[in-house]
Amino acid sequence: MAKSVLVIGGGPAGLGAARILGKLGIPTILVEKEDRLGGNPILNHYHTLIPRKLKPEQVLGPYIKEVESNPNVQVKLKTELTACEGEPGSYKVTLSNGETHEVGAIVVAKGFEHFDPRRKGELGYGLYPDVITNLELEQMFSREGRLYRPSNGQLPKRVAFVFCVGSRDRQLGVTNVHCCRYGCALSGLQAMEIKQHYPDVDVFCYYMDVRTYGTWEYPFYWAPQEQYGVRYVRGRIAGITYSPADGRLRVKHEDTIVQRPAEVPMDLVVLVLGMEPSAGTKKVAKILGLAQDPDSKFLVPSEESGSNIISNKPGIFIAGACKGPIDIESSLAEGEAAGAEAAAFVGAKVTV
Amino acid sequence: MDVSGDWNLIILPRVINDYDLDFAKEVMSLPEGKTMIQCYQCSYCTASCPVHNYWDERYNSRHFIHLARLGLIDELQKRADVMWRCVSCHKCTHRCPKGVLVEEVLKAILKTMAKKGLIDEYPSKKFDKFFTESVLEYGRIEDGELLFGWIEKQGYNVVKDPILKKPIPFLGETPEWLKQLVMKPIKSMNISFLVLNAKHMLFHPRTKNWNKFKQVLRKVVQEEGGLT
Amino acid sequence: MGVIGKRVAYYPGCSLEGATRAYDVSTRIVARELGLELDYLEDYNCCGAMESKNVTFMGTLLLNARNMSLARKQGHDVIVAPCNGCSFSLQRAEYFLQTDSKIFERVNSLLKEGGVDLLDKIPETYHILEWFYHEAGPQKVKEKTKRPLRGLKVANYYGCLYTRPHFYARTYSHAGGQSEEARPRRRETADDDEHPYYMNALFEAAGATSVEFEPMHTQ
Ligand SMILES: Cc1cc2nc3c(=O)[nH]c(=O)nc-3n(C[C@H](O)[C@H](O)[C@H](O)COP(=O)(O)OP(=O)(O)OC[C@H]3O[C@@H](n4cnc5c(N)ncnc54)[C@H](O)[C@@H]3O)c2cc1C
Ligand code: SF4
Ligand code: SF4
Ligand code: SF4
Repeated sequence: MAKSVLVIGGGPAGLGAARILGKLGIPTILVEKEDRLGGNPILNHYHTLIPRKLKPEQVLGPYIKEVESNPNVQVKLKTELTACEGEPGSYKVTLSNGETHEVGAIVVAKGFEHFDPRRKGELGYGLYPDVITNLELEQMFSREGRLYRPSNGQLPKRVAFVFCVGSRDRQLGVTNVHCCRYGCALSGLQAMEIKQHYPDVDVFCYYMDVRTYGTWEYPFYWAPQEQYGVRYVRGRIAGITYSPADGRLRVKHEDTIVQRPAEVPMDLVVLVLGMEPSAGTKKVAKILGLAQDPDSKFLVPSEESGSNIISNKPGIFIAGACKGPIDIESSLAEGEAAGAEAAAFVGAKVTV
Repeated sequence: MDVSGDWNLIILPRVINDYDLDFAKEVMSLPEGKTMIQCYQCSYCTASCPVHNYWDERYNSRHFIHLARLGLIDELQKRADVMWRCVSCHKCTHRCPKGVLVEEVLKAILKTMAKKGLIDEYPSKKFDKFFTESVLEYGRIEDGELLFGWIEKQGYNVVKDPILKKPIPFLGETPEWLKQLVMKPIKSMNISFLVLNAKHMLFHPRTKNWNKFKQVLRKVVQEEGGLT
Repeated sequence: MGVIGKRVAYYPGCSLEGATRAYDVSTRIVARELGLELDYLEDYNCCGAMESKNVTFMGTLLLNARNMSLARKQGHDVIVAPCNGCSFSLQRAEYFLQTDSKIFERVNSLLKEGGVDLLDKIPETYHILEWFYHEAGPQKVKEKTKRPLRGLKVANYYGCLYTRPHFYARTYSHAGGQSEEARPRRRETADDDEHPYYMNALFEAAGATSVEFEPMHTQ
């Protein structure tokens, strides 16, 4: 019988890996720290996903079901990796529930964490109730199904999206100079959702660049602008204040096109959060001896390999947001690729 | 450390403290202004524009669009002296990667400003109106009459024949630039063309079946505030 | 060759019957010599040029729609105009009439009110160079040339509006993008928009030499 494979992390990347391993008939152990599978999109109740505008359950549900029902895959919730010994081809792993297993290969898919916007004090998050995160906006949609100002429960007349909060920012140290990659596109989608339901609400996006890369340019930048009249203003928001006189917020910035300072009234301000490597990612890097970017601490692929899922340790593969900001589709695909690599590594003989 | 004392200028209101989105809405409600929303500020238009490149860099189509879209009226007004300088070469519209009908949008912005009394009647607009009046009246324009009629409107003394009250070229005051401009082609003209043009100046060419249509036209133009 | 039609409605425009009469005369002669037929548009009106366009949107569309209606009345699908301004104005009107059904309806109802025949169909407008190039072409010009322009050096100035903007002249899709249906037309007969050459080719066929000339129009 082929050796088994350990998959760490039950988000999109880990699900992709476990699914393909199970399908290939490889005994697979999937450990997930939380009490359910699905990773950030499910655990944090994302509303609608870029780029296909589906619900997280629609995208990840089939993966979860397949993984849970495949007899080759053992899912271990509320479980983490605590130690690892041995060498490529036969790693002895210890889990937080006390179990030990011998596995031929490991797929690491521990994902990311959301940036904590309190670290940007000038943006007033936590201070003014009408400053919220894009994650909270997702949850407002998915849990309550309506748009409102937390301060008074009323519909905002104007909404501002503040791009790059916790991204591309040296003030946070060397750790957060990367681009979050999903932020611009998700804001475009959220802005469109607002306009679809509340056509009279004016929506503004404050940007440095609009990085809706690849095929996302049209659906998440041009469409919000052209079809929904979302306005894009170039200038990073340098401060958010509150005016007791009218109960509205002010977004302080330089309109870099006009070259003038601006403090424009807004009713709801949405901070577009950056992505940081999860605590688990940092922990597992130590346990397994995986190479990390010295600044951001995201995992980095082997220097010898052209593929970004091959780690510096033979038999250990890395997939998804533990390597840096990435979208769900790519996380799934990377997970599947990493799973297939792992299967090949443990010498699975697959007949179709 | 700035010890100039200019510091006190900080109290001048420099800060943009709101947008006038109704202005933008009005521009975009015009059929020719609709595409303004599509602009992504790449400045392909401005880089292609001869007025910006060879005349006055303050004429900047991209910038005007940004200002209009946010309704930054005072900024638009600062540029009122150059905003009308477009020569309608359509390089901007031709090249805009976003499909903005730039030249049309700029006219829509000007129209909206004029309608709201945010910009003074500028010289090219005066001529445009003068021209349009002539079209409305006759159905056709006649170059000579247009030219000398316009010169008269500029305050020059134009001599007219006593019967038909039509301007007689070059008898009255004629700006030097015009003499130079017109004499060259006239010199090289075949005599029969000269006669023809003289005839046209006396008897303005007209569209015959015009009167009923003219009334509808006039109504439409008036509705748009075109002749006020 | 031969996609536009050998017999078309001829819209000379105000200038060609006034200050630039020479252009009108030679246009007619050249067309006749090339075996093409220009059917004079009876009782046409001014296209409005840039000036009316800057003053009145609907009024300018109406001016051009009336001319289109006259062309239809004379049985034409195609209008040819030698003046850049005129061909621009007609193509611009065509663009707005084709792409916005509300505008089309309004224009038609105003035409009716003004005692002009409704537009059952929107005729297409071509610039005279485009027509000569495609319906006769350099070869024919060469054959028909009686006194070649040998030794004559010409700097071909096409002017601003001969190829611009292509939204009006050759494609309708400006706001198309992915979601709206792309507009159907791409006019293959139009000259190269950034480096036009039809006039060069026709003059060279007539024996002249084109000189290298990069005026503002292609910058
Ligand atoms: C607000 C927001 C909205 C987004 N919206 C979209 C979108 O609409 N479309 C899109 O394509 N992308 C979106 N993204 C990006 C998307 O969330 C990521 O691409 C995706 O979640 C990455 O999947 P992953 O499996 O690599 O990581 P994660 O989703 O982070 O999953 C990692 C999993 O590993 C588990 N884990 C962590 N540590 C351990 C440990 N020590 N032991 C065991 N398990 C552990 C976690 O609990 C989690 O379940 C969004 C991101 C944010 C921040
Ligand atoms: S994706 Fe957009 S919001 Fe996110 S960091 Fe990059 S530029 Fe900023
Ligand atoms: S070229 Fe088009 S998109 Fe670019 S700045 Fe000009 S109008 Fe805007
Ligand atoms: S049409 Fe006007 S704005 Fe556009 S490029 Fe020409 S001069 Fe500039």
